[in-house]
Amino acid sequence: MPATHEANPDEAALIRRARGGDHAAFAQLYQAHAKAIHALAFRLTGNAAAAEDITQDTFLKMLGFLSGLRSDAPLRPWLKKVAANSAIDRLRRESRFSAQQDDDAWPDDSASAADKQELLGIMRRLPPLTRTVVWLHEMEAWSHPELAKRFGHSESWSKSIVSRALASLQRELQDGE
Amino acid sequence: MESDMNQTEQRIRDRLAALPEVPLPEALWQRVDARRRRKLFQRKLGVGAGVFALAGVLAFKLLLPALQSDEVRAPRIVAAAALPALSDAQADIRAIDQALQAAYDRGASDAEVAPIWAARAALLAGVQSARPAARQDRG
Repeated sequence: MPATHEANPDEAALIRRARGGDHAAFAQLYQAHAKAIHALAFRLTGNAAAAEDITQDTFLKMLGFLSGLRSDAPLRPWLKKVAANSAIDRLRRESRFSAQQDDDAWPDDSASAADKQELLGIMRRLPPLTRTVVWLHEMEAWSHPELAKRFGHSESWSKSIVSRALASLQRELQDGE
Repeated sequence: MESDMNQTEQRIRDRLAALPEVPLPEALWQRVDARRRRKLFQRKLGVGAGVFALAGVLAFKLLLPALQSDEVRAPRIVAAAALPALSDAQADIRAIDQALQAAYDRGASDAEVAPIWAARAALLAGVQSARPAARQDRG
């Protein structure tokens, strides 16, 4: 579950220095947050190349003065929000969006038994849109109103996606046990 | 019924949290850093072009009275024209001071602020040399 983040004065100074072109400050910020941001991007997209692109863009946006990030604001939640938004935009660009809303787009049962036993495998086989919504809701604590707004749907759409995904995950986990 | 759902959700959340870590590719740092350097270079280029344009405008404003003095004019008319030019230059210095302040506020490097300081010094020298001439013409 996400922790409560507070602004860190040392980090605020690092952000200011990094924006001024300080290499060491940027390296330190990357060191502190890149792993978490890359992991989130990978969980949301399920794609290694996309996760790298999103991580890179997120850190470069941090250097922009018009990025909406104040140097006295906590950095990690801001980075995560930017990465999540990039992943959602990518989903939309790739035009998978409409297909994933279809009931028929639910994962098939053709995977191997060993794969079924692994939650990782199950997550990978979820449709990209479902995987993104479930991860944001369950692991990043995005509320249904937030998800609905960001994806341009109703709250009931978001609730339905999450509840069906959880039921499916639960079923697959029970089958595997 | 609802508590069953909550338990299920919590169980799945626990399992999701326990998923194996995603390794961060080592090469990604080089890639991100290279893009950062390129972006920084482009920003400096933009600042340099801005300062160059500002210096051009200031130089034009400073040289304008001198160019006009070649024309046949009564000295008192030239002095009268020099007064608004002086106040323009002072306003330009104030604008440069604000630009300097903004640059320091965002932590700009010495290399970034050096051309702004140079433009300020040139402008100030022009103002100081124009002052005695204006006083002489008025007297």
